Order: sequence, then structure tokens, then C-alpha cells
Amino acid sequence: MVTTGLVLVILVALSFDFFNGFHDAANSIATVVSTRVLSPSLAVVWAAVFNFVAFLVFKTKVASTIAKDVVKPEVFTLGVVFAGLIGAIVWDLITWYFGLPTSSSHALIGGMAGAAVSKAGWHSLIAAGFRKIAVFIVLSPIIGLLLSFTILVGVEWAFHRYRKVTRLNKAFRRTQLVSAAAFSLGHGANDAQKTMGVILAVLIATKVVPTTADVPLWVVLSAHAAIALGTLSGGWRIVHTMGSRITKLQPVSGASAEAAAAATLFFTAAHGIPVSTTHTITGAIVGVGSSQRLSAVRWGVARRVVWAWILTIPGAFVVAWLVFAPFRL
Amino acid sequence: MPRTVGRRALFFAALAALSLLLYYPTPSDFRWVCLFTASLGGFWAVTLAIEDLTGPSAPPRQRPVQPTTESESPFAPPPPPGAGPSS
Repeated sequence: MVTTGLVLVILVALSFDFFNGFHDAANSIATVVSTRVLSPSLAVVWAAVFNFVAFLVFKTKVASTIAKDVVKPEVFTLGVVFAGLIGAIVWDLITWYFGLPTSSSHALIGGMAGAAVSKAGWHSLIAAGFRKIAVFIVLSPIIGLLLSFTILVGVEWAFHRYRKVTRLNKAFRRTQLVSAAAFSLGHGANDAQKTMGVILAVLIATKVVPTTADVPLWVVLSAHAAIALGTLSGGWRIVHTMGSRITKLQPVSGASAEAAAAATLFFTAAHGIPVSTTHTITGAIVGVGSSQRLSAVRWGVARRVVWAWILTIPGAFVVAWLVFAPFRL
Repeated sequence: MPRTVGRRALFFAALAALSLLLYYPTPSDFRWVCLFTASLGGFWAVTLAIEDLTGPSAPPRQRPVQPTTESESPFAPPPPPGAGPSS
């Protein structure tokens, strides 16, 4: 049954998606802005368009994982979802304010887990689902790193005798437009589906749709629209950290990093694995930096990034746990 | 001066080892991903180690010359921080 509470929770979920676009989607444009292929304003429009159209390319497997494989469906209530979303949003705002490139995805998972545990204890979590997510928290940046390094070395080997450097740079700038678009597609597919999963969970919990239902089309469109609008609203503060402070990029490096990250996100979206686009693109950027020498990577900045990752799930977990606590009384 | 394996080779070896450590915690459907990353990391570790051990000896360290113009090669190191866009 559709109630005011349900509408409120859905609006909060879409707000989270908007903040995700605002906070995370700068990753899509960090490399293309750092290499000056596009201006920041054009780059956000480019990323937003491909964030939105991702629903035409990918199925909703990530959404199904979030709705059914993280927390036991019977634990989901309006209060649990609301507290989880608030936990994730608050954590995202904290890290946005301090300019830390954290992961909205892990904040959402941490928030949902915190609220569920606050309601029903640790057995409310699905161990197998968490195991898959936890493993790919580590694997996704490793995959991005190794693929980007391999792609860049392969490109360098293929073109090392080519002397028309200006033409080569121009070609790689065009290639970077394609790779940036691919990365934004992957980002839209992965991150918008997490919100879809949350909305699906609450629709199932309130018996608006049956437990076997797929994600309704209006949920798909609204989630993708929300993340695209968030992207359009900017995120320059995070761009500076990701693109230019971890390592300096040439167009060929930027294209390699984004292609590797896009391939990783396409794979995980196709297999229903929620990962962090932040982690993935950071790993890819480290990979291209490592192709020169390890000292080309500013490890101090990368270390700050790692600390933000370590703190995200526990931080969002605690906030959500505290937000739900009054509901238990 | 005896040649030694460089830090890059060790870095990729560490990534390969980490991938193997994740093998058993990974759900069985996705364990091939761990093997893939371990293989790729191991390949680059070995390749870079061979390059370190068999390549020409490194010249004595010199203060790098700061380029004043944009680099001509897409693969060359980028301009120094002062030449880029403002923070």
C-alpha cells in the first residue's frame, strides 16, 4: 500500500542518488578535465548524459543484489531503509565537505547494514552477499590497476615508433571522450542500481510489489535521472583530488585509465556485483602512474584515499545504527 | 653495482599475492577473477624483474632538468606542477 512514509523514503533514496551523482560522478570527469580534453562544465554534461542512458544498456542485476542479497528481505521496513539512507547521506556529506573521495556505494551498504543490525541483530545480514561485496571492494581497484597498466603498456609498445606526436595526441584526446563516456555508462549502471535496489526492497517490504518482482520502469528512470542531475550539479572539489593530485595524466594515460575502469564496471554490473566507482577509477589511475615509475604516484594522497575507504562502511554503519535506535523504543 | 629487482616488480608481486589470498574467501562463481588478477600481476612482476635484472645499468642519479615547454611525446613525463592549471 502506498503511504506518505513510503513516498518520503523513496524521495530520500532519490536524494541519495542525487548526492551520489554530486559526490561520486566527478570521478567520471576527473581524468578528462585533468588532461584538459574537456572543460569542467562540458565534462559534467557529457558524464550526466551517459549516466542517464546506462539503463538502456544494462540489466538490473546490481539492484537485485542490493534488494535481496545484503539484508534479509523480511528485516526491511520503512524505518530500516530510512535510517540506512540517512546514515549514508550524512557520511557522504561529511566526506564531501572535507574533500575526501570516499564511496557512496559502501556508505549505502554500511548504512543499510547498520540500520538492519540495529533493528534485528547481526543475523539479519546475509553473509554470502556481504562476502561477495567485501571481496570486490579489494578486487575492483586491483582489476582497474592491472588492466590500465596493461592497456597503457600495450599502447606505448604499439606506438613507440610513431613520430607524428601532435596527431597522436589529438587521436588520444578523441579516444578519451569515448573512454569517459564508457566510464560514465558503467558508473550510471552500477550506482543508480544501488538506489533502485533500495527502492525495490522497500516496495517489497510494503507489499506494493511481490517479492519476485523486477525493478519497475519508473524506478529505473527516476534513479538514473537523479544521478544524472547530481552529476550536472558539479563535484569539482573531488575532481582535483582524483585527477591531478594522485598522478599527472596525459590523454593516453587518461584514456587507458578510464577504459580499464569502464571494463571493470561493465563486468561487475553484468554480474550483479555492487562496487565502488571511486575505488575502481583510483586503482586505474594508480596503474597508469605506475607505468612510469612508482614515484610518479603521489602515495600520500592515495593513502588518504585508502583511509577514507576503511572508515566509510563503519562510519555509515554507526550513523545508521544511531538513527534507527529511537525507532526501536 | 649489482642489479636488483625494482620496487615496481615487487609491487605487482604483492598484488598477485593479495589476489591469491582472496581466492578462498571469494564465492566460487568468481574465483576465476582472483586467478586472472594473480596471473596478470604475476606476469608483470616477472617481466619487470627481468627488465631490472637484465637491462642496462642505471646511470648515476642527476638532478632532473625541468622542461620549459610542453613535452613532445604523449608518453613523456608531464610538465612540472608549476606549468599546469592552478590548484
